[in-house]
Amino acid sequence: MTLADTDPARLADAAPHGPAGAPVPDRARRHGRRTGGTGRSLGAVGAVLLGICVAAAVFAPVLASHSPRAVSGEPFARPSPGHPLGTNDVGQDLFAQLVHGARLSLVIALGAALLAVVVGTAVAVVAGYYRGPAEVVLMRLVDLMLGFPFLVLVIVLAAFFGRGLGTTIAVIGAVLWARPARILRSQVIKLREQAHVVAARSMGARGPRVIARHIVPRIAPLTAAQFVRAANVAVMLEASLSFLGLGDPNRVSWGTMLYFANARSAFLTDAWKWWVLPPGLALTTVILGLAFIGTAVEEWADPRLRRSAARPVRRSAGVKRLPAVPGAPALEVTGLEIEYRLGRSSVRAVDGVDLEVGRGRLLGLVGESGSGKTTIALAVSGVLRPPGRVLAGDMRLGGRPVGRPARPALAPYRGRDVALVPQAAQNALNPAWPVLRQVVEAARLTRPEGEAVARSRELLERVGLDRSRHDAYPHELSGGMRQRALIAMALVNEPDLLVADEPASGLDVVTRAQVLKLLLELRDELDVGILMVSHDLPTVARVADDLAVMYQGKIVERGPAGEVSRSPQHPYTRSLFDAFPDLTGERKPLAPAEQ
Amino acid sequence: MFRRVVASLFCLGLAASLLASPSAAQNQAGTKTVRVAIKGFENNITPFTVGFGALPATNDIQHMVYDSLFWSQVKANPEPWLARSADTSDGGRTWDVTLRDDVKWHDGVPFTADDVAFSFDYYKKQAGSSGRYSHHVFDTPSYDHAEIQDPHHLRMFFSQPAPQFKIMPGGDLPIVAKHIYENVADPAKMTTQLPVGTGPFKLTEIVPDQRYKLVANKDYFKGAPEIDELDLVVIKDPGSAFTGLRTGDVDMVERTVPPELVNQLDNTPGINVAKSSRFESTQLYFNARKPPLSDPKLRKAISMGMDLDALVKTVMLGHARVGRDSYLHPDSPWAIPGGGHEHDAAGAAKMLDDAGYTAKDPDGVRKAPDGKRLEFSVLVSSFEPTDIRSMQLVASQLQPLGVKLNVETLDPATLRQRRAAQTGGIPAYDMYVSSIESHAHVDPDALYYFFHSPGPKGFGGTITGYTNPEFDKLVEEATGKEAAQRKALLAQAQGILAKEVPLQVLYYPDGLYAYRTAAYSGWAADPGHGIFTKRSFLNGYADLKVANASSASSATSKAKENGAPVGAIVGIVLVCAVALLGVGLLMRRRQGPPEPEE
Amino acid sequence: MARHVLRTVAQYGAVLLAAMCLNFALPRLAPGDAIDFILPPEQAGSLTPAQRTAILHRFGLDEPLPQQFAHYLSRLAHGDLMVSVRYGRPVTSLLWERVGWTLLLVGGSLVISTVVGAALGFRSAWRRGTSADTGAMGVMMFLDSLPPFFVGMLLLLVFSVGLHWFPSYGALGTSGAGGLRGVGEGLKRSVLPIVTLTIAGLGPMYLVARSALVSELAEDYVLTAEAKGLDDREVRRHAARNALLPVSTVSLVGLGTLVGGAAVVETVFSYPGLGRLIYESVLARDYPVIQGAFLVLIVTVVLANLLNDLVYPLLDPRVRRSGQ
Repeated sequence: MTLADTDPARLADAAPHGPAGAPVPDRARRHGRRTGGTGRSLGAVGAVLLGICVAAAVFAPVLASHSPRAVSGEPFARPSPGHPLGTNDVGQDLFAQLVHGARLSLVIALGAALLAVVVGTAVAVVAGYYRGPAEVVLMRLVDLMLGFPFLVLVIVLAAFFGRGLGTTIAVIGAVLWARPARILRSQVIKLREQAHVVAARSMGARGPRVIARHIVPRIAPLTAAQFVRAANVAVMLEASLSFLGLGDPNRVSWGTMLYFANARSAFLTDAWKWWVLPPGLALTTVILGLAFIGTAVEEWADPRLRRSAARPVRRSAGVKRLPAVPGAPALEVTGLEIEYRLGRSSVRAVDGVDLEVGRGRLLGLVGESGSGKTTIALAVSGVLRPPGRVLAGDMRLGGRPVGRPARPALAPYRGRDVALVPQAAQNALNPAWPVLRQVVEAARLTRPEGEAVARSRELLERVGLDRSRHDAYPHELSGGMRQRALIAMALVNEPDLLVADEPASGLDVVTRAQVLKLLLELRDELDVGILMVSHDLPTVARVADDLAVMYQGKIVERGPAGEVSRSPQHPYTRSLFDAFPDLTGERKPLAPAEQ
Repeated sequence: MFRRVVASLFCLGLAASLLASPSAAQNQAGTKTVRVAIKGFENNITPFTVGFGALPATNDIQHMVYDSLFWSQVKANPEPWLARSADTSDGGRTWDVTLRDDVKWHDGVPFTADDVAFSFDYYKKQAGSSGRYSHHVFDTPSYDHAEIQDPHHLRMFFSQPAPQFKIMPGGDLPIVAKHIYENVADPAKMTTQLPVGTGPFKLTEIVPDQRYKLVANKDYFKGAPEIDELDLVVIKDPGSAFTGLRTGDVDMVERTVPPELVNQLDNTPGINVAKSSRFESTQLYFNARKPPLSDPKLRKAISMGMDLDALVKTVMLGHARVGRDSYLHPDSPWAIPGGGHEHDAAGAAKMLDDAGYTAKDPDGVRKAPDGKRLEFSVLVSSFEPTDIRSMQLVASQLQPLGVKLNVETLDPATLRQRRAAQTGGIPAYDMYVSSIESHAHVDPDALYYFFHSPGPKGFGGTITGYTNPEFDKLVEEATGKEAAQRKALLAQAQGILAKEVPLQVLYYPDGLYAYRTAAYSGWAADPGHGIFTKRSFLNGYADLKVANASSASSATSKAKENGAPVGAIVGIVLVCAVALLGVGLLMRRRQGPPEPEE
Repeated sequence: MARHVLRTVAQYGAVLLAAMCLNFALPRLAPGDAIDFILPPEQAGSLTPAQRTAILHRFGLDEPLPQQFAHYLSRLAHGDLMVSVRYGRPVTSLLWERVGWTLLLVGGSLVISTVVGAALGFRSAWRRGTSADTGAMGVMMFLDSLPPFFVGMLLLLVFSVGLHWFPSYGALGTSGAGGLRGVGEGLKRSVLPIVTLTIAGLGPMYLVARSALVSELAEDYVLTAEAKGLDDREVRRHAARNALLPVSTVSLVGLGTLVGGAAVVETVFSYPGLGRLIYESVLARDYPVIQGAFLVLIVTVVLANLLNDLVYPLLDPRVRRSGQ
């Protein structure tokens, strides 16, 4: 850890446009398992490791029967009952030095880390809150400090300013402030623009007051994480300094023990076993303990990192792709049951759903957030991720018996016979590659390379993407164009079933209408069955052939679109219609469904 | 992807090791090379460019390439080298020097009296720019000029009697080539050119900070050296140097074997440890100008309170001789016969009581009559662990006496700065520890340099600030005297030192040197030079050759040697495994039942 | 875009200038006089004031500070870094001799730790939550917690003293630098130091790669890639392509830091590198060398940062064309 930066937050900041820094879309969160898993257990292990060392430091006089400075035996003695780790070059008890050494390492670690974090926070607040030229100067300084070999800096400062305990702490603290400063600054900037802070500022609250009331308390968790990280590096730096002969040899510390061990040739004799390994491993224990705790605190401070979504190793299932049965509906599902397992509890997201999408027909699956409609979309597309799990259900895809619509069973059909148009989110296309390349990737599944390119271009043009835009990167396209590209990608292999998850949400009214119109046209041209998932019942009702309304994992109403919208039977359906005004109408609150 | 990466890395490593497989340790057929680890880089090792990084071997490294008129400074009667003889008829003011006529510089130019005269004049001209050698030409003795009689005879004139000319500067000053230096104004800037000397080896390759390659001068006037090549490898870390010896990467380590390694190395098959002191000493300097340390009685009492036997036993593990109160190394030709260290804790306490240091603070520290606590700081280099340990021990020895020492460790540059720092016109430090090599013990004028009160040239007195007119008179008188008289005068002077203790020698390390017998076994134990010195490679010094009875090459010691690393592997792997297992188990348990594969 | 580049360059230029001033001031703040290291103690102590001045003059250390600073800047402009006090040789050539060796160590370990660390990190991220991931994470954090000098010494003990596989010191063999053999010998001697540095650099790289890929895998485009029927390998490539960004940042920005870490490792292996030179020069108060070496480091760091700022758009099309 002395050598590079491992902090994800730092990276996010280092890459201002980088994906790591992008806000996590809802979808990702929905698919992530939000538990404290790894972090908490790491933290526990770290606490145990650090606890051992703290205990050694606190109870040192009890644990060791000799004073660490007293000459209590022959020089260079091997381990014996009186001296469990033998003696050093003047006959001081090495075990006593080991347990007493813990004190110094911990004091230096805490002192230097405190200093680093205090300075770092101050710089972060000044740079992040007041911004302006001060920020430019400070942050370039931080860049320099971060890149500069701080071990070299510490060597220089230590050689120049002496070896006292206070000096050592100051010197180490002085080179460690830059990282907390950088990470906390980006946090301060984010907080600064948050509504309540902006409000406080616009109401005339003064800088220091806003900082004290709104900024500092909010960055406290991240500060704590940085404190642990800094302590971690400080331990390593103190040891390296002592080892290089720049510490105070009169101190009893692990670094000093290693210095004398090295200087008195312990590596060339047997003595390294009891003179070098114990302090070396003690250092490792503290550093590892702090690293584990740091990871845990970071997860606690930044919920984004808590997504530990266990992703099973997927192997290709070896399922054979069957031919479609002519005349069969695009999709038939019966008795679909899906649950999410969260820790030890589980939630039934889909509870006994039957669905049928005919060829050349559009089924609108409507419901509010959390009703289970997106889960169904993912499941029938074969991309439902853990912790979601298909418990039961029987699926037929264009008449082919798929069985329980789990990932392996759908593997041979994914992209070929069933395709997904994901939600119109910013990141549904890979930002690193031009759109054509991403469409060709899909097209290649069913045809040779050359044909795939031709087919992809043809389809992109069909959905309304001009040839000149084929080599554009996703960020260069408008939301509507991206959605068209996604539709092209989904249809390039002429699937039996197209699953469209909120294909028009997030688009402006005009574009939304165009995209929906395009889907309808393609439905007719390709004779594809479409399962369209949406929360916007009135809009869907206008384009769908059939409607199914979901509520709490069940389908509460279904039927031809015209019928359902004309006379909704279920009160929930009615409330869905009411909740979404026409462009002219007034918005009414969404009434809770009463059954 | 991962597998491909690993595979390609593996191939790369394999290629590298194949490429390197012809081990460097193997000599090319017929070339006898000795690889020696030296501790510092010395530029191109001319007398004007050495950096003293390799002290105390610097002088010996230099004399592989250069020669002096006599060799060496250590003996009272040095061996004629470039000179066949040197005679004086007027007590040392003029010297008639006869040179060898069979000497050539490494570039083939014949060596003549011109070169000798030029060298002396040139060193004198370089007086301002230091150099270890210059002061022997312009200060004591003070060379004036030379008259060249013929290519191999010259007469040298001194402005004051120089009876010890053959020793100093004759036995020490490297003679440089006139044709190389006559047009060079600042020789200190010629740091990369290969030197041209007359010595037994030619320096043929310099890799800065890494190595020197010296090739035997087959035409050497004392016969071709017994080896063909000398590889000097710079290894700054002592541990690495002896590791190199153990792994066979080097054949000899120029630095002294640390006490804790003596038995280990001596018991290693193929390695021999020879004893040949370089007259090194480690001493504690008192600031004799700063009260209360300016009181000789206090210094003497502190000296008497020090148990140097314990120091030698604990810190040096017995591989040193106990320091003498009279300073000079016991093997120096000028050392007082007998002499030793007076350790008498009770006597020391009585001496302090008598001198008025009776008042004590509650913590047991005595106070001077003027109320100053006898609490002193000792400056020690942080890179000399034995010095640090010695002072930690001395501090504990002096505690019962009521004298408190605080050991302050500093890096070398800061230490020297602190030594030079002054308050109120006198140096501000209390005490410091430092080591010194043969030159400071065998130079006939050493006592004059170190302990004479500030003289007309500003020399002396600066080392300890010690002042004693009686002592000054004795050493001044000695500078112009023949050996026997000089020795008598210096003995008296040493008596004064022992009484007044401006510095206390802690110990004289034994001078133990380790080498691999298979690579070269002709090492000569040349007193004052250790074994890495030119006589080791020349014929005719059978009486100096060290015994090569590589002791105890028993199977047990070999097994022990191999035991350590295997133990290391097992130990490390075990510890790692346990740690990982623990972590893994803990993490797994927290994770709940494994998820079914969907 | 061009303005952005210009502004970045200007900002870094200002940083460079500030650093150079600091660089001049810092060594001179310290106690200890260069002359005390030029000469052995018995002579440094016995110099006349005139001799002292003469020696200081030779190295330009006798002038008043403002003048020294002016000279420092004007020499810098001419690429002249003055003469080492300790060696009496031009600092530029001293640095030049060592930069190569440090580059070999640092470059070698940077490449290996980046490639291996990223490969392992990606693998771990792909299988996160499995025992393989947990194990790898534990090992990496453990390796990361080992002090580099400790690792170096253990490697020395095992592979050099114990198994005699590798030489124990230095960068060059005694057989000379030339030829294929010299190259092989040089490589052989660089193995242990590179391994030590790699062990130190592997952990951070692994953790960065892992967390980067974990967050990429949660992105929507991964779902899209899966849904369109790509197999695991192709899906992983989608995510890895984007996860490479932070990895490259850490790798580039870590360059300077590694040089510092190399100081310790170079000490353990008696390796004639830049880090070791700085360490020795600091102890010797060899101001010209300290300044020169720091200058090299600062320039390296600034260049690495600049390079990162300029390379980033090439790796990330979003930055490239939006032209911010």
